[in-house]
Amino acid sequence: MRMVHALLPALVIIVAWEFGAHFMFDPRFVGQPSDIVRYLLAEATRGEIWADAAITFWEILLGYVIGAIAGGALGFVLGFRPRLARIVEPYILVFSAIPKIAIAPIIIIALGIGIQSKVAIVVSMVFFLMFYAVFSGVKQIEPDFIHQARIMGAKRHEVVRYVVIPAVAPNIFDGLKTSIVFAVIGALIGEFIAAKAGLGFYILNASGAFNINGIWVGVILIVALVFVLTTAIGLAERRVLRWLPELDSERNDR
Amino acid sequence: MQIVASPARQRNPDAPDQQESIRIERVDKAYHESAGAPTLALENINLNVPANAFVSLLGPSGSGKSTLLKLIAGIERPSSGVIYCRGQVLDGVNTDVAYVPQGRGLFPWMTLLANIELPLKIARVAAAERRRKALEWIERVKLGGFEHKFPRQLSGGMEKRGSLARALITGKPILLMDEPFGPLDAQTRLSLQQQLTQLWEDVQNTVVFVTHDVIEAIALSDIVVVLSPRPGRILDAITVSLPRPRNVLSVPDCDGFAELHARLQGLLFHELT
Repeated sequence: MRMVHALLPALVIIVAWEFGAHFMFDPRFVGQPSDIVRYLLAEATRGEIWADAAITFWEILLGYVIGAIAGGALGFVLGFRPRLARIVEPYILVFSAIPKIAIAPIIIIALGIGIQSKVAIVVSMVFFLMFYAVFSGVKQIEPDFIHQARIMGAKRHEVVRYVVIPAVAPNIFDGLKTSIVFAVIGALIGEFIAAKAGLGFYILNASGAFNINGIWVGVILIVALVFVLTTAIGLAERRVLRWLPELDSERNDR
Repeated sequence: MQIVASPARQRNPDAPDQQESIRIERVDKAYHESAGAPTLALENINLNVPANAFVSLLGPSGSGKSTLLKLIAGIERPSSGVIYCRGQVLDGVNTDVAYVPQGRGLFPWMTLLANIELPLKIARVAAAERRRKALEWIERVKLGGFEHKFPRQLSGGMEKRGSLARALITGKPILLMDEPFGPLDAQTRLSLQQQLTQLWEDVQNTVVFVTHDVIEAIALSDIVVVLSPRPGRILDAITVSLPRPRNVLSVPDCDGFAELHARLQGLLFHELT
């Protein structure tokens, strides 16, 4: 029942678009759901688009994982070293303030038009988001919790395992969730600037050929990719953060 | 199974009881803010806590009683002076104590059972043994059936009982409690005070209990140490010779309660005016 309620607006929009495209606009400019679906099925059976999707998927996944681990690790270390953090933080702030789209051409010139440059752009976007998420999370840990563990006799690695990581886990998941969209943007920016394959490359070609359905098919696959990643992170979050009151029932129903 | 922090500090049940558990000598604690003169939180504290006694630190807010407890726990260092714990100079975190903090007691990310098992896990107690002991303590603090609940699913009083079980399961010789019943409602407080009294009369370890409540201090303690407001100084240490086992509810009707109460109130009130 809830599913039906959730899908109703989408259905209304698609139906309105389908008929609106006929009577009010020109389907050649805005596309039309029925045409897009037909084109999607044709492309899916032709198969070449899967190679593009796979490349974009790997660019995003690799960049996301590398950026998240590196950014998270730096946030973790600096969170526990306030003196070092005071020195390093301004530099991180400057680098994070650089619009990645502005330096993307440099990265591509440096690393070539293959997958490496796209991964690097994704890393550059995810890194800072994860850094700030974990850095602020570590600084917010209640000292009392750490003290309690130490009084129990916990060694440093046990304090990290039983207190620090669980305490920062909500921040880690917040960072991971916001990072997904930025990772996708990063990969697409790279592919738009210069690429040999990928969904961004596919969209660019389709728009060059004035193939409106092609653009939409690329967009649909990207949205599907985001959806898969978000769902995976959401499921992991629900498992790991069962103890958080907000995750009990209402939230995370997307 | 004896829970020990390290082999060197093993507690030998056959050894005669040490006469004093904690000795504090000429301890000052100052906090250095970035600007201005340091704030003196504790000044010239000298205190002996006898072994197996229930000692309350009673004082108004700002008397540094929580700070003193943190010094004994070793999570803060004195600015000057020495603290001995069971004969040894305290240097670093004190693993001879169990600590019930002021705020939320249990780790919110662990179930009640996992919380209570944790100190044993850290002490490398075998899994089956620590499960058995944890379940036993959960029964003792009357939390049976809530093993797999997270702290947010428990009431404040239940969480405190869990916190108490987690402290007592360690078998540590010293229990430190920082206003553990502060934020609870009056009924829950009384009931927890009574449960603590019964548990303690069973266990008879050394307790240092921080409170600002005169009646609570009398009802629970063998000795009440009264602290003055900033900088915290020890005004007096008064022995409570009310009989045990005690019933917290009927303590105010005991002989001698009225005088004790008046005396402690007098000490506190005198300092406040």
